[in-house]
Amino acid sequence: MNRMEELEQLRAASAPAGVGAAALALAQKRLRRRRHLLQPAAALAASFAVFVALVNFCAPVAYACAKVPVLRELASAVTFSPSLGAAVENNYVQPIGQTQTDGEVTAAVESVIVDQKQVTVFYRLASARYAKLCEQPGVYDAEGGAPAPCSYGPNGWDVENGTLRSTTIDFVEDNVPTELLFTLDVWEAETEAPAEVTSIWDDTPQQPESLAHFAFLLSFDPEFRETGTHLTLDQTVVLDGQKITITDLEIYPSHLRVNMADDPNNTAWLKELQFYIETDWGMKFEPIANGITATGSLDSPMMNSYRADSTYFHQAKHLKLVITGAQWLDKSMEKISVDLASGTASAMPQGTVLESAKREDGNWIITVQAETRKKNAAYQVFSQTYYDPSGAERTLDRWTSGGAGEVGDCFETQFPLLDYPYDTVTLMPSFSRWWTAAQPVTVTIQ
Amino acid sequence: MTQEGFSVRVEQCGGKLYQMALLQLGSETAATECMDEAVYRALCGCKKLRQPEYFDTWITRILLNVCSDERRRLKRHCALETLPETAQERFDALPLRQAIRCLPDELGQIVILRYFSGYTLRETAALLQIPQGTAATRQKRALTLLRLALSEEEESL
Repeated sequence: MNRMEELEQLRAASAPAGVGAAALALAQKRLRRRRHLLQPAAALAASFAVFVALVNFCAPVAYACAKVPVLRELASAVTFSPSLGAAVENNYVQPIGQTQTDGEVTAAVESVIVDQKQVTVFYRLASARYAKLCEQPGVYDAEGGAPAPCSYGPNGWDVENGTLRSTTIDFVEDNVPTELLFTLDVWEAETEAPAEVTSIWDDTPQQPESLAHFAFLLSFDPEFRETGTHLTLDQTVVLDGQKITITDLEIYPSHLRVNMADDPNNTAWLKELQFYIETDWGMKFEPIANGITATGSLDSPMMNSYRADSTYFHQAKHLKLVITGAQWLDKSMEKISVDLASGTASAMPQGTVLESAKREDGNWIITVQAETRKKNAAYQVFSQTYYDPSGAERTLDRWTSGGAGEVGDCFETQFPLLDYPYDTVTLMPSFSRWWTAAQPVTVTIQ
Repeated sequence: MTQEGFSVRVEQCGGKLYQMALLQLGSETAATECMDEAVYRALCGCKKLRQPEYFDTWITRILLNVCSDERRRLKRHCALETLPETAQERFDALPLRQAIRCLPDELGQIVILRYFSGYTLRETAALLQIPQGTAATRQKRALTLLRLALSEEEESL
């Protein structure tokens, strides 16, 4: 067969029957499947496009989205405070995102929860060299010169490197400023037990120089910094025969403050209030358990502002302040005399006993037993100021407590009167008695 | 072009497309797969074809592209051999079907379009987007390699 015959044969060859129809049927099937896949994909792409547009052109959305990745870890970092937990749940977090390295230590301030009165700063410490780091925060005005008018402290200790840490900065009278300088001095945490001390009353050893120092200028978003509600109440109640006026309520995302004033004719100062706040649907908000529980003023021994977990994110129409008890300092018992030589006192606060007064070198060591009022919680029996027989004011700057167990048990507290040559002392009790309301006293709010 | 119109036209030209693919690839399986792929691509884009009279040219060009891709793939896997134009003796030794398949792409396509699919030289040049003169030169070279002595009339169709 020559090439021409081959050509004719090839040209005469026919394709299998229905080859076009088969290819068409297959193509139609593939197209339907592709549409099936593409429609959801297209919807997803459209959603993504809208999301990108929102993030780029709508600042609140961008802000909220920036916070999402950190929320889960933040939630676990604020378990000490139900109010901060609610803030995190409601995305009430301002991202900061500042990182600094000093030597072999890196510090990163990630975010803050800030309102009119409180800032909680969230940060991490990391180092390739030091296995465990500890820190001492500092808070200054934006220029870094003056300490800010606030109290502050870390919310935990013994934290692993890389784990989220936090420090709460509290402003009692002033409001949180627009900017603060937040500093961290960092040391390597002690991995070995400290050398045995000869006496617990020895001065604590000087802190060695820090490994690293960081200074973060924190600028607070006004949207967060100005948050808070103020409600005037001016409702007077009689507690244990003492007139107390509930003046106002301050509700911030981080906490709630119940402010009160006393009557000049009262025979006792209010030192502690046992209470809770209840919403109209029965949700309870307890007094703050960790951190500042109450504050007073320099003008009187009364504690006139009490803190509770915040109702801010719960939007209650009506609130109830329910008072169940109080701790008083009778005005007649603001000072007591203690005969150190005989170990006797003119009076003692309710539930406490002067166990002993012992001379050790030039000091007096006083031991007091006190009834546990709250599980595992010791309390201060005397204030820090005391007077020698000449009337000179001295300051008590150290004491120990131990053994607070179940309610009704006793714990022991011990403190020294250092370089004290006298046999008598005037102490100032922190309180004189406890009171439990036979019927809770209720104040309706809003 | 509507999908209904598309279906009718595919069924009409299906056999011719299959033969073209078979001649280029030499394997029924590969030819079927390329035809399926070409029809699918054409179906996806049939709404873009504004002049249905060009359907045959359009789908043929799609098929040529699919087959070229497949030939490149087969060459990478040594499953397809193309011979240089200097290897006349080897072309002579092969049956025509295989000799066509061993032609360089640009020559093989000319032969298939001209003598198996029935396109004129002008249509073939348009399909391959080359000048008609180039198409004529390639056709001559291909016919020489294949030892096909076609009449002048057939050549100039």
